[in-house]
Amino acid sequence: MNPLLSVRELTVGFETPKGPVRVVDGVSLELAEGETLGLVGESGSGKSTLALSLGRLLDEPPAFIDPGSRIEYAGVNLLALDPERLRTYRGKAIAWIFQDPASSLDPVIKVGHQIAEAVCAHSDVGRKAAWNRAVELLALVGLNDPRDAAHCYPHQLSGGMRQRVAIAAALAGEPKLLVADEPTTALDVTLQAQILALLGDLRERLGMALLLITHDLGVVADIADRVAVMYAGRLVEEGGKEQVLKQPAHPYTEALLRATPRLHRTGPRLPAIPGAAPDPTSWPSGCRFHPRCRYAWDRCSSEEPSQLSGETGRWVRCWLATEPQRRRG
Amino acid sequence: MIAFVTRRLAQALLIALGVVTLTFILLHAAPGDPFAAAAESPYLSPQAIEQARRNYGLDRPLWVQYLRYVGNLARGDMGVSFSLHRPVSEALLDALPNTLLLAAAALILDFGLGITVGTLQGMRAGTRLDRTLSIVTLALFSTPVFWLGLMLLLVFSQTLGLFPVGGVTDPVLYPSLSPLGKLLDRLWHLCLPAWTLGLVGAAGTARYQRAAILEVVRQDFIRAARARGLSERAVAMRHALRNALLPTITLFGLTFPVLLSGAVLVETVFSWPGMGKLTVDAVLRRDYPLVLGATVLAALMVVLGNLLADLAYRVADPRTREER
Ligand SMILES: Nc1ncnc2c1ncn2[C@@H]1O[C@H](COP(=O)(O)OP(=O)(O)OP(=O)(O)O)[C@@H](O)[C@H]1O
Ligand code: SF4
Ligand SMILES: [Mg+2]
Repeated sequence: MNPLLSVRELTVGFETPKGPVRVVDGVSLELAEGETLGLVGESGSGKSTLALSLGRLLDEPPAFIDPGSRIEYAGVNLLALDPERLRTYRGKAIAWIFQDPASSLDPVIKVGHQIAEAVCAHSDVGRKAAWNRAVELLALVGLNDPRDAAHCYPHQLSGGMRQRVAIAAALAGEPKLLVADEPTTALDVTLQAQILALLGDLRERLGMALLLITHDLGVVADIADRVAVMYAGRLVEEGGKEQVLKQPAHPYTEALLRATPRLHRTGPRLPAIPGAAPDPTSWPSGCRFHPRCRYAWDRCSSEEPSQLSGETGRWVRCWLATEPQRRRG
Repeated sequence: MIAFVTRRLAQALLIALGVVTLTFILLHAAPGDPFAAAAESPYLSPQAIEQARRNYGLDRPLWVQYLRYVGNLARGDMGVSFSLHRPVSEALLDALPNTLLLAAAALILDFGLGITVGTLQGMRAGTRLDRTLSIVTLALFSTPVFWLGLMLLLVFSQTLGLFPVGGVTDPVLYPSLSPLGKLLDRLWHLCLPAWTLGLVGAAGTARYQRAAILEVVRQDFIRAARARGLSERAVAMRHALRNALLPTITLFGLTFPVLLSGAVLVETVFSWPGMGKLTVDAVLRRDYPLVLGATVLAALMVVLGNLLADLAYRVADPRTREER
C-alpha cells in the first residue's frame, strides 16, 4: 500500500548573514494512513522547520527547500504544485496545530468565525452552515458550551480552551494528516494530559494520521505507533515505539531516555544531555552527535554513518550498529 | 464607555483652557499691536486711537483682559473681531464648514489611498512594486505641502487649465447653476486642495500601514491561517489588514492636527476661505479675539479627533472593549 505521506531527502535551510544553513538535512520518512509517528528531538534540531516545510509554510526567502527534496502526499509531489493548488492541500490533506495556542488565533476575530472561514476554504457552504459546522467542531474538541464559545474572542478563553479551538480550526478541512508541533508544551501539566488524550481520541474517531512533534519522550510513549528521533537536522533513529523506547539503538536516544524520568525509573537520572546542542552554521564532522557521545571513537568524527537497518522499519544512524561490542553499560 | 467619554471631555476643556492661556501670552508677548498700523495713519488722531483701545478694553492690565476673555468664553461669547467688525463666532462658523469639507476630503484620500497602498506593499514586501512605491511615498512624504500645492496649481490649473486656480465656487457662474451643477462646481474646486493635503498624508499613512502589515504578517496566527488553507486574499484582507488597522487608527488621532496645520498652508495657496486662511489673516492683523477664537476651536477639534480615534480603537479591538 502506498504511504499517505512520503518525504524523501528533504533538505530545508535558511539564508542567514553568515550564509545558508541547512537546518533539516536529507530527511526521509513515511506515514501510513491512520498512523501516529512521534518525532522527537531537542530544541533546535529542526523539528518545526520540518513540520512547516511539509506545507511550504516557511517564508521563502529566507527559507529554502533543496530542489532534490520530495514531499509526496498520496502520490502527489507537493513541492511541484503551484501556490493555488498547494493551498487546497493545506488544511484539507494536511493540517497543523502549533505550540502556542494563544498566538495561532487571530486576536480580533471571534473564534467561531475563524473556524467557519476554514470550513468555507474547503467546501462550498453558506455562512450559516459554516458557522453551524464550527459549533459542531467546537463540541467535537470537547468545549462545554460550543455555542457560546463560538462567539468569544481568543482572549476570553483559557489556554487549554484556546488549544482546543486551534484543533477545531485545524479539523475544519477534515484533514487526513494532522501535524501537531509540540501541541502541549505551552500548557500546564494537567492540561497537557487532556489535550494529548483529545488528540489520541480524535485520531481514532476521524481515522487521521498524526505526526506528533515533541521533545518529550513521555508524550511519545503515550500515543505514538512509531518513533523517529531527530538530531542536528538529521533523523538518527527510527522504529516501533516499543523497540525505540525499550531498546534505543542510538546513543542520543539513550541519553534522551535517561533524561526522561517518567520512562526511566531505574538508574541515574540526568537532567539533560551533557554538552551543548550543535550550531547549524557548522555541524560537527562525521557523526553530528560525536562531541557529546559517550561511546565516540575516532571513526565517528571522520565518517558519518548512513542509515543502518536492522529489521524492517527499524534503523539507526550510528557506527555502533556495526561494532556492538563497543557499547558497555 | 460613558465614564470614559465624560473623562475625556473634561480633559478637553482643560486642554482648551491651557491653549487659550498660552495663546493669550504669546499674542501679547509678540511685538506689534492691533493699532500699530493705525498709529502711522495721518488721518487718525492719537486721541481717536486711544479711544478705540479703550473700547476694546486694551487699556486694562493684561490679567484683567485675560480673566474677562475667559469669563466671556465660558458664556459662549468669543468677542468681536477687530478687523472684520463682526462677532468672532460668526466669522468662525462661516469658515468652519469649508475647512471641515477640505479636511474630510483630504482624510478620505489620506486613509483610503494610504491604507490601500501600504497594505499592498506590506503583502508584497521586497518586490519591485514595493520598492518603487516606497520611493514614491518617501518623496511625497518629504514634500512641503505648500510647494506641492503650488506645483499642482501650476500644472493642472495654469498650464492644463483643468482645475480652477482657487476659491470654493465659481464667483460668476455659481449663482446661476442648477443644484447638481452647484455640487459639481464645489467638488471641482475642492479637487486640487484636497489632493494636495491628501497626497502628503497618504504617503505617511502608506508608510505606517506597510510597517504595521509587516509587523502583523510575521505573527503566528497568519501562518496558522495559511496552514488552514485560506487563500492569500483572505489572509491579507481578513487577518493581516484588520490587525494592521489597529495601529493605523491611533494614527488617525495624530493625523488630525497635522491636517489642520496643513490646511492653513493649503487654504492660503488655494485662497480657500477656511479656518486656516482666517487664522493667518487674523494673526497678521493682530486681531486678538479672532486668533484666540480660532485657536480654541482648532484645539477642540484636535481633542475631538483624538477622542474619536480612541473610541474607534475600542470598537475595533475586542481586547480593550470590555474595560471601563
Ligand atoms: N528564519 C530563520 N532564519 C534562520 N535560522 C532559523 C530560522 N528559523 C529557524 N532557524 C534555525 O533553525 C534551527 C531549527 O529550528 P526549529 O525551530 O526547526 O527547531 P525545533 O526542533 O523546532 O526546536 P524547538 O524545540 O525549540 O521548537 C534553529 O537552530 C533555528 O535557529
Ligand atoms: S556514530 Fe559514534 S558518535 Fe555517533 S552516535 Fe554512534 S557511537 Fe556516538
Ligand atoms: Mg519547534
